[in-house]
Amino acid sequence: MYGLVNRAIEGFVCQKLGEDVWTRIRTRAGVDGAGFVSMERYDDAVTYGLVAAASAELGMDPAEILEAFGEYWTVYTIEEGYGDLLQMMGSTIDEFLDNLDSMHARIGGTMPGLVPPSFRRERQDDGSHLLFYSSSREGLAPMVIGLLKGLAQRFEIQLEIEHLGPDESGADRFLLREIG
Amino acid sequence: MDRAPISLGRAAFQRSFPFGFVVGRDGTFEVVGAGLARRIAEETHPDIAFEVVQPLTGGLAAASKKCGTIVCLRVAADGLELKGEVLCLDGGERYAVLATPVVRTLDEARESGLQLLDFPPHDPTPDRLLSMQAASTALSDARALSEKLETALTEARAAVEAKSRFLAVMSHELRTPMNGVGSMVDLLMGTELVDEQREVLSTIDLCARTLHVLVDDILDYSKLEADGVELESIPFDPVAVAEQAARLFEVSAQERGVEVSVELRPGVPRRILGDPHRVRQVLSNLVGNAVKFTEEGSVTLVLARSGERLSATVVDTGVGIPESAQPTLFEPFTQADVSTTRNHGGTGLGLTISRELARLMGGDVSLVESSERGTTFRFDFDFEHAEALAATSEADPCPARPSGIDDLAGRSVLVVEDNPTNRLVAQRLLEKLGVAVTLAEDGAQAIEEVADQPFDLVLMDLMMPNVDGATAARAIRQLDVEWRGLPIIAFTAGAFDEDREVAASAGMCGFLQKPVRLEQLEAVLLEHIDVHGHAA
Repeated sequence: MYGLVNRAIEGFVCQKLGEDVWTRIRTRAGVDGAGFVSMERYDDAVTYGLVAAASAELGMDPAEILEAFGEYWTVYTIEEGYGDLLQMMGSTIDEFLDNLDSMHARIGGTMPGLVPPSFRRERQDDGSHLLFYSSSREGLAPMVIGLLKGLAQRFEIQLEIEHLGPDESGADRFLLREIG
Repeated sequence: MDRAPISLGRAAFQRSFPFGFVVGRDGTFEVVGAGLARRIAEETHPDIAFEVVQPLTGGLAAASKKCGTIVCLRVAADGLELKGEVLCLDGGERYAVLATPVVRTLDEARESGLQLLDFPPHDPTPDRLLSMQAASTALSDARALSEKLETALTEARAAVEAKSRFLAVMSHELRTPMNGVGSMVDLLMGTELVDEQREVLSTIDLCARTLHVLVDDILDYSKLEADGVELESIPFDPVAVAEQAARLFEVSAQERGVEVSVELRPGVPRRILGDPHRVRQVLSNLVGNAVKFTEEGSVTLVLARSGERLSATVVDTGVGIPESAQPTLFEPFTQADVSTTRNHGGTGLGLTISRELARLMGGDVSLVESSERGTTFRFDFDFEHAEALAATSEADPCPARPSGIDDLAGRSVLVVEDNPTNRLVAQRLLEKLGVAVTLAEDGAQAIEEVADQPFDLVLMDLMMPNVDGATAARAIRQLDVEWRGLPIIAFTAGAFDEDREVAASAGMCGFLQKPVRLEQLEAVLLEHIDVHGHAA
């Protein structure tokens, strides 16, 4: 996982809960106070360790933490200088989701070894959408729910999100319905 | 005629070349890319839709005649810059321009209303922009880390400074009452005492000495830990320093029938450049340890020279160090066994401090061997000769001299001290040694006293109200009296290198640190009082 993600976790905890809590969490996870470098690759275990430590420290389910972090991610990437890129990804949430794979493919050029997730959107007859999410990493589906919530805020829409679980190919499915 | 390798339908062209367009035989658009279509209407004439930046003359029609040429256009509607290649079709009757937007930053791309899909997969522009963004992120990360480091460094420095200040103050405050306790014990020891009183007094004496060592060791260890020890580089006689270190333990050794001696190997220089105080400290530690752990026999300090390196080997006939304790001997707060502290005192810091000091001198302290028959430690360090300086030492008010006297009776000493307890302590100790004492309460009085009459030596406190010790010493050196070069010894509770520097730069010849014991005071007086004396 790139340092950008771990920095986002740090930013998320510091912003929502304060620096003392972050110090406790990173200490519990065995991470020193030197800070993360955005463009450096870290073992996935560091990220999972931080989530587990946050879960233990805050007495929250890891899924809750991942969801809250996912919601924060869109805000964070804008703050970290990727706002222009996000804006270029479309003027609607549909365009945005359709462009996610292209964006990751582009980013892969500057982040060697990046292992991004993949998203595919399918419009349903009733106007809802099915979002298929595939990742080589386990257990991050709750983060996708958070991301979708963050995007809904960004595009100023009300979105109903239902996690349907995996299809026969193993891709996780989310049913999205715009309401209101 | 070659077959076209690929043929694109209208929709595929619009998707693959979002900012490409095809102009037909009549000079109007046949098709425009999807991105361009959001900015101009297909009905618009190309000459109106674009401003041609390159080539400068002839407009699009002229450019279309040069197949393969690069054209730079500006969309008239919004000023978006495009760059592309002209593709001649049907023998030049139709042409296409395969253009892409020219943007230099992600910010510019966003402001131009461009979307990621406006860049076809074969266009590396977004990759380049992302790469620039990544570099910018890396740079701001580096800047943030650098700032974090700078803050941490400043905080760490402030913490070390605060710790040093605290230690300096505590050390000074502890030494002042300790001076009173130790000295009074010395004086009391010289009176008529019954056995029980003597036993109690011996315990107080042991406690006072242990406390003294503790304060010194902890202070030194903290300074070494914070890289706060700066070595002096002044001329001194290493043999005299070795003899002083040995002499410190002579009495306690003799009481147990242990002989302490100094042996010289040929070629040992008598005047070198270095830090005599720190050399004496290391030697005292090694000799002190040897005496402490030797019940009978001898402790011998052997000085030898090898090239520009001096070694001091301390050989004892003591109980030896258990093999299991040898590997951790130089680690802080360790002693051969826990009963050592109880039986022999000490902090377990002595050897750690000695080794660190030796290493600062470019040398080392090591255990050579240890068995039931005794132990040998070696201290070696690099030295520089001080002959050049010796030749110019005529004006030195503190010449190195062998002890010229062996009895202090009838000598005169001026004690300059603002603290009444310390004044009384110094007076009593000196009187005990048979010295005639004159007292001054600050530097101003001291200058007056020395101007009036000669003394064999001045004991000068450093921190005093009105005129401090250093100022007084400088003033005395400037007096128009024959004895202005008399030995002035700093007598202070200050224990930092800066205190020694202050004393040395003010022309003082020695440094006597409180708490002082009778034997130390006597040794310093014997060392510095000239055989002929300054007093009349």
